[in-house]
Formats: sequence, C-alpha cells, structure tokens
Amino acid sequence: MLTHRITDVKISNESTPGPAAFCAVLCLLFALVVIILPVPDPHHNKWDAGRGSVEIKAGDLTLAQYQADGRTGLAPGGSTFEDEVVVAVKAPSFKGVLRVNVEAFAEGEKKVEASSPVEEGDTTRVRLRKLKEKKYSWKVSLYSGAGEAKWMDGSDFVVHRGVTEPIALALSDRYLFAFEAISLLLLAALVGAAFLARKEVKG
Amino acid sequence: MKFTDHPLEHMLVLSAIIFCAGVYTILTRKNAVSILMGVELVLNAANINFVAFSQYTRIGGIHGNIFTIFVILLAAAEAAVALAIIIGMYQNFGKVDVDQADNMKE
Repeated sequence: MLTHRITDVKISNESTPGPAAFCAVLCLLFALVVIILPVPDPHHNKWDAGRGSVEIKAGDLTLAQYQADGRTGLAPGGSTFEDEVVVAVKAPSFKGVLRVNVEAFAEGEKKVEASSPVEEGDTTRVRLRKLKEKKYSWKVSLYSGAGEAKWMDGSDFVVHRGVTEPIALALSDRYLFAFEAISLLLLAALVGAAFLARKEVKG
Repeated sequence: MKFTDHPLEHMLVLSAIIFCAGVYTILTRKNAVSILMGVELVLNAANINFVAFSQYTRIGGIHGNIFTIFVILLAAAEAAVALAIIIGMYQNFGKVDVDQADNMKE
C-alpha cells in the first residue's frame, strides 16, 4: 500500500516529513509553474477554450462577445451573470469608419444601444450596459457618416441574475440522468454505510 | 467586491495549495479519519477549480457549478461509506490506525 511504504521510510513526524512532503511540494511547484506561465495575448484569457468558440464571421468582419471584464469569452447562446456584455468587432480595415454601433434586442424589452468610436488597431470594442434578465440577440453596423449603415447580425446571449435558475434548469434537463444516478448512489451509500456500521448481535 | 475581481490565478494557487495539503495528509497520516480529511481536501481543491473556471471562463454557462454539486454529493457518499468502515475498524481493532488494518495481506 502506497501510504504504508511512503510513511514507513519517513524519518519522523517532528524533524523531516520525508518523501511524502517532497511529493506534495513537487505537486505544488508543478501547479504553480502551470498557473504562472505567461499570457501570450493580454486581450485574451489564456484559460478560455480558444477564440474559435466565441468568434463568428459576418462578411469581412469577425464578431465576438465577451463577459463584462472584456476578456472572458461568451459563446453564442452562452450565459452571463452581469448586466454588461462587451462586443468586439474586428475588421481588416476601419478606413472611413467613424463609429461602431451595436443594438441588442430582447423579447418584450426596449432595445439596448451602444456605440464606440473606432479604436486604433483592427478591433473595436463596444460595451452593452444595463441589460435585463433576458435572452438578447444583437447586430452591428459600421457608421461612416454618410447614408444609412448596413446592419449585420451578430450573436446572442442570455443574462441571468444569480445562478439558481440556470442550475435548476440544467439539473432538470441536460444533467437529469446524472442527477438521478447520483440519487441512487447516495441511497446505496446510505444502505452500505448502515450495513457496515451495524453492530454484531451475538446469540 | 465580486468573485471576478480577483484574478483566476489566485483561485488556482489556493486550489493547488489545498490539493497539496490534502495529498500530504493522505501520504503521512496513519489515522483513518485524518486520511479521510485529506481526501476531502483534495476533492474541495477540485471543487474550487471547477467553480473558478466556471466563473471566469463561463463560455458555455454553468457546467462547472453543476459538476461541483455532483462532486459534493459524491464526497458525501464517500464520507458515509468511509466513516462506516472506520466504525467497523474501531469495533474490530479498537483503533482507527490504518496500519492495523492489514488483514487482507495475509
């Protein structure tokens, strides 16, 4: 048994903890090295599941939606728990474009509008604020000062207040089988524990 | 102050420390209850990771939180069985030292 072998060779509890402590420290060092590895792109969260999961194409534009922090991706149809979402518009060139406009729509709600002057570089970020607890879909347009801008469909997201409702929905839908399986496991554990802990009655 | 005001790395470091404390406890202790506590520490470190990643990189929603609920339930089942085994050990050997429970070796 691993526990026995390792504890058997340790010198003592008081002085040197021995190989067990060495293993634990090695684990900790490895975890710290992995965690502290540098981030290649400051606008991108290194723990995100890749840009492909949040970006969508609309003509020449590449559109993406992010959580309120502006770094954490929000997949199409994904959930946010804050009342702000950042829309990033990436274009080959913003030449002649003055502003980027974004409109978000939710059923039974007033549309939420936001716009931002074109930023330096190939990406402009627009922040949608004061979002209600609804499912929103948004579209984007590049305003160049002349004529009406052409609107392009973006993506959608759901705003939640608190996690209780989405957890309840997930447990009663996608994870229903796992939920029921766990209930059986708990029952089996309860019966097993009662069986193991029973007292022998002699005679 | 919100959970996301802290960088994700802080949560991961906390989780790594708790995990290593759990591993250390499992490897060094001979008392069965202490070993069980070490296992719980390891599971809780995993839970912190699930919640932190769910909160910071919640691309798909709240799947990390759901997994945490399942892990807590599994930990409860495991604790129930382990404590029952420990009671059995105490009834048989009068101690809960895992070194005493080597009957299966023979």
